[in-house]
Amino acid sequence: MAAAIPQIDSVVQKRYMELVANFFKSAFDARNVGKKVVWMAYFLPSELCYTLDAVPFYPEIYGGVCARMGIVLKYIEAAESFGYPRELCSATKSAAGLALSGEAPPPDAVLSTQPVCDGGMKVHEFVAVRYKCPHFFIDMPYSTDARAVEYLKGELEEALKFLAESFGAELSEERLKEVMELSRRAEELHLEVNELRRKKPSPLLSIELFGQYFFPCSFLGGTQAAVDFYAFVAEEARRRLREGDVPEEKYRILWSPLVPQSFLSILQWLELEYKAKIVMEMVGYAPKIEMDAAKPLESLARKTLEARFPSLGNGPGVFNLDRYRKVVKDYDIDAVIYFAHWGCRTICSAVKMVKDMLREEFDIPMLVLDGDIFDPRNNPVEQARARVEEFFEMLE
Amino acid sequence: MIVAGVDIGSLTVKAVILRDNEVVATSTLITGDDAATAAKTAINEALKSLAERGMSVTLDSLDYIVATGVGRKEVTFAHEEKTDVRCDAVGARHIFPSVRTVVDIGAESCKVIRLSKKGRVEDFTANDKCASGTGMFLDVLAKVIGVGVEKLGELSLKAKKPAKISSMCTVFAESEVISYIHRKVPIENIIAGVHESIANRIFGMMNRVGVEKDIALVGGVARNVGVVKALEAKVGESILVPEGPQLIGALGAALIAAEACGTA
Repeated sequence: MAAAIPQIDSVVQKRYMELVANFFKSAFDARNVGKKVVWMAYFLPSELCYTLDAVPFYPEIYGGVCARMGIVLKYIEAAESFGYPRELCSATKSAAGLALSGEAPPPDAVLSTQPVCDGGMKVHEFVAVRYKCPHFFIDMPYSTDARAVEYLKGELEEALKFLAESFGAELSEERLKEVMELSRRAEELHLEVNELRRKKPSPLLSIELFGQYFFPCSFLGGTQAAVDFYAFVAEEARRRLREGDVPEEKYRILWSPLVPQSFLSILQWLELEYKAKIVMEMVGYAPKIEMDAAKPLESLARKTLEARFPSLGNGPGVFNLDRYRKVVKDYDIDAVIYFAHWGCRTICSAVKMVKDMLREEFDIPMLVLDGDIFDPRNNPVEQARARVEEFFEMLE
Repeated sequence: MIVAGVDIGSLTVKAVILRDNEVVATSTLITGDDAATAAKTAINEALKSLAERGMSVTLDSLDYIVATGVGRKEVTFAHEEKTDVRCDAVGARHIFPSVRTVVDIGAESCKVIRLSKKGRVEDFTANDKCASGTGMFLDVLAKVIGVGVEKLGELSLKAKKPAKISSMCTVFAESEVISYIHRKVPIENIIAGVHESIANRIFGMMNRVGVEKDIALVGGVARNVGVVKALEAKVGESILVPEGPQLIGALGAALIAAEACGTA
């Protein structure tokens, strides 16, 4: 049963859907235009591929698109039929199912890493074995300090060399710098969009980008398309503020950590009917990152560690708490909705730590919503609505 | 001023009629497949008992109606709808003003609600995607054991050594119970084991929101003395159980209705 993608009357959403469609189309078309496809783990920077004129394909992210379109279940079930347990993360299973189905662009190489979880890493390993293609593992430090940046810089350099050798391509320092300049500009504009979302009332809705404001700089980092997209969103946000064309806002919500792509109706309902605006998603928050195209790999290492909620799936949870503190203050958050994704040890085991901190330090309530980011079988809509209604009634 | 609260649960619908803030009539009926009709019937049933006492009130003449429970949105004739969390809190607090933790075990749901000293809902949690620890869980197991669900409580108090029910899943717990029956384990021990497993599940939920004294148990399952005792043993505190615990949600709804009319 295909679920309609929750669409609203928004130029931002329309442009975003075009951006995402073109992004994945480039992977499906890659072979026809003589380009290589690299299957990438969720947290790995797309700049590695664009430097070598290869096309990144993020299977878990494509799984999310399939979840939005209501067609992900066939990939999840393909993985389950193959032997992956029902209890395993649906994002991981969708990646495995895509590989098993043969319906995704076949990889010419695979880059994996341990975040967002080591289960995902093993599936990427499985993909490389199944397609008999070269595989490189990038060891991602959990910290963001100078030592970690230096270490990751070395890992990224090795990964680039590995891809260049695998594809028989030449690694150009100039091209890397060009890519990193585009990456820096996209980060800068993403930060500007995030700043605009801080306004009260906030000019943008989370549902306009299906909760994925980080998508362009994460997966199209190093492209003009990402730069243009953020510039467009920032301009539209400014126009709304200027003209007073801002969606109504009763509550300011922080959604954490991941937005369920099979369950976007709940976001739409929250923001449009309940006027509970999601002004930030924890996974999409990024601080200002020092990036210098003249130091491309160091900048890329810094961006990779800082920009994507680094310890979400790697390292001690206390690292995350400081980021929560900052977002809660900066965005003047009224309440937090924590989506406890079925089968995710990382997300579910951090619930209590986050909830207690928010209550003790900010007196902010947190609703723990049990569900599944991709698998619609684990998302009883009415039950979730009931929980959300109970939660907001509590806030009144 | 006469108002009504109606709680449309998955198994039963309950109505409470308040006159000048005093409960004057109640009713409990099977919900069936039409929540709106069930709600109307339950209120009319309660009003009928009023008529027998010489008070002639019709549904249309009620000053305010608040609907709650899983089917509340279907009750289009209600003036307002409120969640069961709010209604349980208001109802329990009305009976026991000192209560800070409300546990509601209904047919298909269980909830734990923590209240502030002033009675404001501070936090809550509910069972999602699982029927364990609910009335339905007891219903299934009562059928397997072959006794009426209303007898489970008293029988379990005779247990000498409660059987261990390790599974939280209704389906797997059922097979554990069947295996105990085959092994000739006394049924009172099996029932006590089932109650303990419910208490364990509820205790986990209570800890999730943080337990504050006093604690009240409401909802239909609160009529099962075995569950009450098992939960008291697990929590290490005595638990308050109101008369007619299944009516607390409807009572809360009625009190909210009275407040809307300015009489509470």
